[in-house]
Amino acid sequence: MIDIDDFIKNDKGQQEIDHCLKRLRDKADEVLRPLATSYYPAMIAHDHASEFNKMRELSTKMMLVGQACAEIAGYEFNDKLIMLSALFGGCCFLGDSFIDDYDDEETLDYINRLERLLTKGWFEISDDREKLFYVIVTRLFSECDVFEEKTRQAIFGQFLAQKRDALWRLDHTELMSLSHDEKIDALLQCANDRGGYVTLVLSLVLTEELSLHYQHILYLAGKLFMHIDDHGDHHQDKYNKRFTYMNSIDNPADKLEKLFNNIVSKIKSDLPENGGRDILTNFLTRYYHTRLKKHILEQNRGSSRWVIYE
Amino acid sequence: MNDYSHNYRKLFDRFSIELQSIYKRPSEKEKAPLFNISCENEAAKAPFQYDSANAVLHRTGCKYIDGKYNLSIFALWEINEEDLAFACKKCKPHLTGGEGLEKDPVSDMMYGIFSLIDQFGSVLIERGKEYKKTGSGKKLAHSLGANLSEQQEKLLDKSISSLDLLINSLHQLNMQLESGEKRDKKEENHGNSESAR
Repeated sequence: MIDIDDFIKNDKGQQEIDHCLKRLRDKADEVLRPLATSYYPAMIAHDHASEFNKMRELSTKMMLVGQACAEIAGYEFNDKLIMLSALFGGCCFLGDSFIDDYDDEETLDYINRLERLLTKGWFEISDDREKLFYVIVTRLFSECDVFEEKTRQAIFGQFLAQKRDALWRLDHTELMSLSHDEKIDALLQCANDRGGYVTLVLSLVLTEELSLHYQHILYLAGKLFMHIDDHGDHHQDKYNKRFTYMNSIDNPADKLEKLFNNIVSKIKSDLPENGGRDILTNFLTRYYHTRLKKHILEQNRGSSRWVIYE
Repeated sequence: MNDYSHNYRKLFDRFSIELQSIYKRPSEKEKAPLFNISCENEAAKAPFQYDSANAVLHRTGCKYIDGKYNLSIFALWEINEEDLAFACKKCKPHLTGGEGLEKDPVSDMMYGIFSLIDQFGSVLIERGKEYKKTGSGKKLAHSLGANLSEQQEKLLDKSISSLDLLINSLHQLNMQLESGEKRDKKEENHGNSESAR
């Protein structure tokens, strides 16, 4: 395994990623801080600042992937796309937290309410956190064509993928009724869709069109991000009794390495050479190595206290 | 972002939040949808299905669509020459001049209104007040009513009555924003003259 700190310091591509992340972090702050200040001030208050910082970090990563997707499709990553990708990051952070951070009953309630928002347009706002989420969603939806055929399918597909994951987490009965191979297949597809849809929605929100070829490649990139993420969270997920493909297979590190090499090679061979492609492959490389390190650190830590990684 | 668009984004936020408060008013039966992002029923009738995970383009109904756990299938209403490179070898989809997904006109109109309010808020509010009084405005209200279901009509009635409240809210908010800006500028000028001393 490479020394990730040395690699980030010395590799030219990683220095460029560092530069982009710094710039985009400032932009994420510009977009999200005024919204949090207006609609969920407690998020900015001193003792809750870490929640805002987490949202800004996720948004920064989404913006970097957004820049890659936009440039791959031939779009300039201008102020409007910067704002849209920052909003998308904020929306993912809050939406994920509704599904991941509450008890079972509340999680189910949020799933139903998110479904009602997407299928009926109604979202009863009960606290400031939800108000911030709703404002971010409406700003995002009003700034792009959410009723474009592919975009609306991608948005609803992302919701369905998350819903399936959450329901399997809350009730293991369906998964347990499957044979081992069927269970592995189901978990693999679940992670593929969870990740694949994130990059597809992000790309469609930014560009509103995507050739079938790019759609496939960006789906692959998204699924790779998800498997890398799940490998990093392997021990935490096991501790929380959450099944994922990566924590249910033998030799996950070997399988992840193979998947990483295959998908990065495909991105390099199938997409035209441009700045977007470089950002995507360099960021995937960085993400892969930092999560391999996280996996090993968490294995040795063996505790229920978890650290936040870049 | 300039002050104008900043203020109107804030007005838009307020409008959207106020819109949700309408949900609390009608009874369960009257809660007609504002919009629907999902298009699952229409998607099933589209002529083609694209499997994003496996990069295969199928005709709808092809038995080789990998569908048990795969959610990555996108309905397509038309395809082009380039897309045929991904054609399923079993069902062999070919070019047709299909029609796109019919959009929900109520949803489209609502988002159209949102986007216009976002851009031309104050002009629209004044224009809308005038337009409501004209014959055309009254005719529009009548024809909208004729095309809506009973439930939607009830909701529309409630929405229209709520719009008056909204317009007041928007005016008040706009005045607050303007007075806030004036106060900020005054304080800024005061600060400048203090530091110049």
